[in-house]
Amino acid sequence: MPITRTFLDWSRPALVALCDYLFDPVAEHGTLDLSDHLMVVPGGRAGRRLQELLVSMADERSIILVPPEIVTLGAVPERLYLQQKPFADDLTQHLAWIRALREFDRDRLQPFFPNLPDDDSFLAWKPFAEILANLHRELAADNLDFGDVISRGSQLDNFPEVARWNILREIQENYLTLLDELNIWDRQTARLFAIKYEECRTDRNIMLVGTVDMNQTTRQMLDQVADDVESIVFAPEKFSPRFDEHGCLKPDAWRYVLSEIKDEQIRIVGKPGDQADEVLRTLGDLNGRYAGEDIVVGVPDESLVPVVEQRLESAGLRSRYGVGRTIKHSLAAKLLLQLADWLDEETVVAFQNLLRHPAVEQYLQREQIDGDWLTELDRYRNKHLPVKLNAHWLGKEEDRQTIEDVHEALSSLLKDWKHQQRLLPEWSPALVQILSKLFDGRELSAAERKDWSLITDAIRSALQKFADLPETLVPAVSGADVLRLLHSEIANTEIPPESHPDAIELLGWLELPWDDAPVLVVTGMNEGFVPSSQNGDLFLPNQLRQILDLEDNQRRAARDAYALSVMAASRAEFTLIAGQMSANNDPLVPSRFLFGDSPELNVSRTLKFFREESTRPSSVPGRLRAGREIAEFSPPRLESYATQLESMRVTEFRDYIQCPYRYFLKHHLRLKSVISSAEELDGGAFGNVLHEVLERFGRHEEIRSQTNPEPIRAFLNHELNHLMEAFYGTDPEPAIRIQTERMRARLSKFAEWQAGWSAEGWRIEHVEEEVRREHEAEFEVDGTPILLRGRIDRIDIHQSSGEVMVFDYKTSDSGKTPEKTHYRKQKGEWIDLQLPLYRHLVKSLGIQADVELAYINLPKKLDDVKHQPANWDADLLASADEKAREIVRAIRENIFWPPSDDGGLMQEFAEICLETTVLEPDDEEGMER
Amino acid sequence: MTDLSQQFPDTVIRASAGTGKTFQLSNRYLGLLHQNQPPEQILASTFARKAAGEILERVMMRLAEAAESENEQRELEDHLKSGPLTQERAAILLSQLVQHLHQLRVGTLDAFFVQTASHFALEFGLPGGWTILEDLDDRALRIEALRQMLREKSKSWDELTTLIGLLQKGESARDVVDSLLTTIDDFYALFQETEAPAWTGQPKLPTLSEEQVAQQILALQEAPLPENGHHKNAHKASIQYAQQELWDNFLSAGFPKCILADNLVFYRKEIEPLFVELYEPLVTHARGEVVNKLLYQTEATYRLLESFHACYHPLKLKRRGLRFEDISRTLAENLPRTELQHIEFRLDASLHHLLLDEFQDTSLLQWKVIQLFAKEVNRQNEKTFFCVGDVKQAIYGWRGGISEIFDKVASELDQIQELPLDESRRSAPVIMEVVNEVFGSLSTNPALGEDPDVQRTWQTRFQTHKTFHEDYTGFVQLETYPVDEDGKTDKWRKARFVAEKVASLHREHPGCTIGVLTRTNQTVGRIIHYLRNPVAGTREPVFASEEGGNPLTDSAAVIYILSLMKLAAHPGDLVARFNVVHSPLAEIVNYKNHRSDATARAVASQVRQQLLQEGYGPTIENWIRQLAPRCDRRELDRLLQLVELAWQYEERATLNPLDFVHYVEETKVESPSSADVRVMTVHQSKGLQFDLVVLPELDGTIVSGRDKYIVDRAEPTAPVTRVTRYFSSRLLPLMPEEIQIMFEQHRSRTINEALCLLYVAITRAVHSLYVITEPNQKPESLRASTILTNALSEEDPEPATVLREIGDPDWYERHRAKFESRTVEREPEPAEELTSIPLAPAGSRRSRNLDMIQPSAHETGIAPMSELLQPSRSLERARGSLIHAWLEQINWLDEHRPTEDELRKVAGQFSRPGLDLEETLNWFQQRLEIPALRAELDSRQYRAEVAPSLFPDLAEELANDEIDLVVQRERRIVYRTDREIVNGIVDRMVLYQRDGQVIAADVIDYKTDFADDEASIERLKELYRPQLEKYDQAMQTLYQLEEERVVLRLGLTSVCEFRRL
Repeated sequence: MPITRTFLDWSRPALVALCDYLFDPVAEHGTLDLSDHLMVVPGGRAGRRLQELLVSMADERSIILVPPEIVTLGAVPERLYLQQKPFADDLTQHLAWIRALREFDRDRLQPFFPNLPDDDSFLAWKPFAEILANLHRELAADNLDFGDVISRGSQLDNFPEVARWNILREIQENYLTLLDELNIWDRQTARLFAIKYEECRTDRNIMLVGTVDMNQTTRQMLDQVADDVESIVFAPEKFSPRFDEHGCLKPDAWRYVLSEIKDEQIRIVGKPGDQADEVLRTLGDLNGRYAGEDIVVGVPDESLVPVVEQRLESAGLRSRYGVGRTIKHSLAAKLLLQLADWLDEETVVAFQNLLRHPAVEQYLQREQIDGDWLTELDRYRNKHLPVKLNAHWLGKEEDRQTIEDVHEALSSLLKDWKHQQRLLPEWSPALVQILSKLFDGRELSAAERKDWSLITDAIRSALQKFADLPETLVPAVSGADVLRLLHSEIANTEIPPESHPDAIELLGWLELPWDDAPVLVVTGMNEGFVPSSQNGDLFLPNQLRQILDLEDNQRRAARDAYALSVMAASRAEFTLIAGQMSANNDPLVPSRFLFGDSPELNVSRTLKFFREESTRPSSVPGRLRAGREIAEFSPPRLESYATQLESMRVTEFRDYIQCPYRYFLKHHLRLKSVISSAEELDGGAFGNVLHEVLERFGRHEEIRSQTNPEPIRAFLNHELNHLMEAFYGTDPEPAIRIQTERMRARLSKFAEWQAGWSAEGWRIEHVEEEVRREHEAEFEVDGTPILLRGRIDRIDIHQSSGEVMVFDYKTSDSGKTPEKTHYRKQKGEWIDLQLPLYRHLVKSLGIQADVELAYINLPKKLDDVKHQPANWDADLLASADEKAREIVRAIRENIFWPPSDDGGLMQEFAEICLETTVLEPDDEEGMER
Repeated sequence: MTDLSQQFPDTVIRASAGTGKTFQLSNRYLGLLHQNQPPEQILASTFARKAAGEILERVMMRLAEAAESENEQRELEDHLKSGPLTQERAAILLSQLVQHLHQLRVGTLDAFFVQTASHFALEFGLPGGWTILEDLDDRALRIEALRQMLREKSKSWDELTTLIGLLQKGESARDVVDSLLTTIDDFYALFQETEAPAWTGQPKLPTLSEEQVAQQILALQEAPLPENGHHKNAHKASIQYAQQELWDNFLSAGFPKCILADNLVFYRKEIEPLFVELYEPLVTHARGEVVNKLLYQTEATYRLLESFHACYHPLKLKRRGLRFEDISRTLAENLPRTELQHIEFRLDASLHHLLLDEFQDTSLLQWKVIQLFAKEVNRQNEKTFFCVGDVKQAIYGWRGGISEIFDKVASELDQIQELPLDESRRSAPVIMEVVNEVFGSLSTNPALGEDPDVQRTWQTRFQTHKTFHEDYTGFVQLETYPVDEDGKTDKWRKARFVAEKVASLHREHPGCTIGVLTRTNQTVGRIIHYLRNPVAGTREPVFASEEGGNPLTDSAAVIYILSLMKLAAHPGDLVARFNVVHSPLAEIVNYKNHRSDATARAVASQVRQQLLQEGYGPTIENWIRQLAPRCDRRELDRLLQLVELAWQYEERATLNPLDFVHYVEETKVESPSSADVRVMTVHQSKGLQFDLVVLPELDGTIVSGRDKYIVDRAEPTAPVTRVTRYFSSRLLPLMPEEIQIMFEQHRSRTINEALCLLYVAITRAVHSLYVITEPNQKPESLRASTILTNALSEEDPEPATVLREIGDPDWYERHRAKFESRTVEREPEPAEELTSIPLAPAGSRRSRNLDMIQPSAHETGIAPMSELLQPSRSLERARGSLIHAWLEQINWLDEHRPTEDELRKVAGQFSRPGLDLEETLNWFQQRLEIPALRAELDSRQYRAEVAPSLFPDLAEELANDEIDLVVQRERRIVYRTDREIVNGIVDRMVLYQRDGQVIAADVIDYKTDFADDEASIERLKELYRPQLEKYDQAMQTLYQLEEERVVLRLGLTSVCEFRRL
């Protein structure tokens, strides 16, 4: 006897109609005993909803319900035969595929798999195993093996892939043999075996609920128990010829949607955000006639989910996405990956990130390690530029004590993890141990507490999987790999979304026909999503799928046309929204189903979609509104921070000239950013090292008066090496080593210049002289003195003429002259006053004579390593003093406003100045592309 | 087979700007459809995604309009020229198209390539599951590869330092990584399309040995000094240069310069032959030194790239991230080795017709791939080829576009018909007049005086433009910027000037679209800044949209949020702290004093945790709600875009909030306004049109010397055969002839592309064009602005002067009605109060989304991880499941005791290594013999012994058989409470029925846990009590039973006892 087909009209929601069908014959207070029923639904969500409806209806009608077993279509085969061997789980299957691949003749594989890994790293092989496992699964579902592809494919004209499938067939045979030897099998094989030997049996009444698209394996198994199968088809009886004997769709008969979709139910908008806005408008149009739980938003294009969720939330509406989140985003999962990253290379960046993990942070606190380790690590990193963190600590101990403690604490946690491979299950105790240490005793937030059992269950079952692996397949893996593997095993575990009576539910396309909410708004009604289609493929292009009777474009389209027909017929409020553009600006076309089923409708809909100006209002209900006509965000005024000005460093004047506002932030509030991703010395650090070397040189009484460059060079080299080692260790990154050589080259040229300079009769008198209070250099402004401070790099005196030369070392690449850096000739403006003000500072060192001012440049162009005197006359220098007085006056009057457009060298304050325009030094000549 | 080639000859259309390229392409597409060509066999491709969308839209609309209107139908019929096309036929064609929407191949070339590559990923060696690598990720990958490369190369330290020394021309610049990265960015694409010999094959010029140089210098020193003072000084200077090995300087002055130029006169006096003779060897040497330095630098560049590639490429494969160019390259390398039939099989389509738009932008790699298909369709009569492009609009040379490919198509394919198209369907006559004046007179334009080749090229390629819209009025104005008292103007002042100009144009031309087209993105930013921020009280702000967009950091409110992110990542960052404290966020996160380290740490920790647990999107969304009242429309829109970005970011979220800051800083987001004023670079304006166009930035020098390399190809479409790093034109005379030729060709290409850019810029205008240039430029100076002013004006370009006006300044009046109707349509809605979306209150009893509770899922709570994660021992678990399965086979033992064979069958699925089936089977069979267990499972004993003990009040009825005992195994239980559905399975249940009605129930749950003493049994009872109590409740609810009529028992298999709870 064939399967019994029962048609339930689709004018009511499918599952509601089914429940009525089941309950109607039962009297009030009677019993509906479905314990002998196996109800087969198309998907998990339909199953849950069916159960909900059954229980609620029993409740409403006061009927005792002995519930049926409800399973999804994918699970029904296992209810029809007795499983004779254990099943290999996915991990085992992947390992078996890997084995089959690796044991295959590599030369023969080469043309088809030229990129197989050279080593035996499990994670490197896994992608290939996944490809084969998926292919095997899909073909077996339709009762095909790789060999069948060759025999059926030959029906095509010139099937060009025989050689490839022959290889695949052999690999598949090896794979199955391997499972056989292990006395396990995969689900697909077990099913085929049951069909072949007609082993399918049931003692249940099997009710197929809306399973309109079934694979061959399932059909054949059901055929063996057909007497006990009833297929419930949701469609008007008159459409029965459009369904086959299994109650499945005849693809030819479902090229169009068979329920009417009206023009006004269709909305065509622009980008994903516009689709979400249209959802809000549609909901607004309902005028409060429905509660949240009466509304479902369909999202065939999963990428729209966050956009829709966000807009709903923004409009104050709660939402609930059926699929929910996955464990991937949980703290535990993130910790696994971060630990793996840290184990990989022990980089500072990985370590810093690990420290930002809340579980790690709390662990350290529990271990009584106190301190501002993130900031200290920032400082340590900026100062010593380590790429990796290991035992070789640099700098002063007191500057790094906390981070050493933190590092020690975390390293000891992972001490058994480094540099070793173990068999996969052998890692389990270590995994349990580290997770216990980091999570036990931790205060869980409410959100975490809710998901915690799911997460621990997922981890436990993954560990169980590792333990259950057949011995001969167990791979050896590194610590980092086992963490990544565990992550991939648990990552996709779904966390069911919270339920709430006000929540608007978001559902994927396949679930929509089986829902019964009266309001349905479907987004993403675009070709490619509805109907989905696939043209071309790595293994199974559409034409091959057709020959093999696999799911092809026609079947997909039929399934989606049917689904849309069910929805359109059964909902009180039904709206379809299509976009014109995807999130990454790819053009989208409305679904072919929206164009209708006749040439006339095609014409009118085309005109509507592409020509009509939208008549929808542009406003979006529920969208946040701006509170002001013009926002008045501006950098904070600084008056409240102003203090008495007593002294100034001579270098500060430049900053004030550049921007009084930023000057205040930098010199009075001493704001500073610690953020840096530098991996080599920046201008400041580079200059500091050179200055330090040159200072040591200048203080060395014997060397500094040498007229032979060699001893000078040797001394500088020695000091450079010493300093670099102290700062950056004995094995710094190559970039730093290269920089050291560049400094060496500059210093070498300096040695030559210095020797010649000495030979001319100049001697160094003062070096890095910090002019402090004890040698006050007062500078009068409006009758009130201001204390000038500064550090003079070097003062030389000529042995015979007594001339005094005040030097500042400059180590920037450019090697500009003092004139260029201090004075803008065209505009007659001082932009820096450092050298001119040195004239006043030197007085406190007892130098009363006129002095020459100069740079000693050590730029990138080595020929330019030499001194550069400033040629300013007395009048000009006097104007510099006047400029300085102006600045002192302004500061005394607390003039720091407004910030200038261009922060110059003080870029780090851009955010405080709310620099909203791209201000980086631009490339005037370079054509922007 | 149909011979379509007669009706649709293979065609190349050279279409000038605005002449309707897409229209032509859609004609061809529609014609093919009309001739019953299956749409899936037509590949129509272009470069921009938006343009690809427009092609399909145009095709469908034209069919629909023809089906709807007789006029349109006649027009379409005329255009297609492929036989009668009725309205019905148009509708049918449209229907066919709709039915094949999923198979259409109308898209970008990149999309087609990606699809093709994904179908051959395995054979072509692409990593499984690859995706296109975004710029930000690629940047990180490049840095990682570079670091890895440096580490590897540093093993041979001398080699590395020499290499880097060569790259930096012997200079000692501070930064290493950035400069190497810049070199890599500049050259990597070129590296990938070349072979080593192109970089290293150039022969070096001869030089002298050190000794020989010393001898030559000595000889110069020993020679008697020239008598002429100029000669004497020059001679001395040259010797000094030679001694210092400053060969570049040596050759740039004095005798060497003259000798090099073959002009032996210095300061009007002939150089003495003795010196000519003495200098010549050194001149040759110096030239060799200078030229070889460049050649070595070029070689070093190659070696750097080679080493970099060796690290970068595997890294990309490992991360499964590829760039579009990798895809094109992979296809170009592999597809030619693949049979076409095979390609078509995997693609699921054979391509019979190629329709290629914007063909002038095709790169060599792309052409290599497309060529395969093009040659095939060209060869066969039933297949066709069609391409359209404009070499005058070839502005993507920097991206690899080679416009010469367009020229070459005709020669590479057979019997190609070439058609010109020069009638604009966009611009007013006055705009065409300007185009014709500028581009028609290039041969006499003084700015191009040194480039006759370029002039010739344009003379042949430029045809006088006409316009279809003779009735359009318009206006063109050419003016110069004002200057300040120093006679200068800077970029900021210029931007302000432009902004004011645009603001007044906007005010005076309501309803008109205005395109402000710049050369650089920075200028876009500056102009937008001033448009938005007028000098207080002078005018309303103008909110212009930014094509391609800027990062969201152009919003103050966004900057505050990013400061908070920085603080979260780096609590020691005082700048971020200060900014947060002075922002509206201070209240929200409760951070008031930027000096407090402890609070900063606490706030940082709290924000990090919130971001991780709630997600970036919801967290920022929450902040924004509180910021919104202080925002204006634009600020709020930018914030909302930030939220959207944050939701998208979630998938890639790391533990470090600073990564999000970088993501925001690097991601360009278009400004949401649909403003009439749009500011963008000329490149971004391609394909767009505006009623008014403002060109404020045409002054940059065209040959700027900022290029990175020059290349040689046998012909423009051939592979690169030689590469040289770019060098100063000053050195040109020193170079070998072949390099000089390369240099000149490069210069011509650069000028050509600049002219194309100017052409694109001007032709975007429909009615009106405003050009603002710098004053006081020499006519010979090679700039787009001088080319324009030379052609249009004879005035001296004084500051702040209108140099030329053409057309009707009141042009707007004539079209006022059209524009005003637009303003009415576009009038923004009045600001309205926040309208909420009302929902009906939820019903008192929920009907959907109830929580599903399974009694057996015990609450794990927050027990220690070590306990939660302890995997129950696998074998024990398997054994437990097997025993359950066996027990499930038993209804009443006296009815049927499962045979050994039956038990073995059931056991199949539980077998695993280590599980001793024989032993377990024996154990089970023995257990069944134990009286206590038998009493439970034998119906007679149960009725006589067990049941009365459970329900003494029913003893009599039991004894009299008045009560039926019905066993249910694996019985499903389901019932609902207000908020949840309880759903479970009871292992065994004995229902006591009187007259068919259930009056009592014995609920048994088997437990295989080991328990051998009272204490452990008690523990088990407590553990499972919550689960069984749920069943208790269920039974009472379902069968309306009194509490005492439901008995809950644990069936403890280890001790063969059934214990009541």
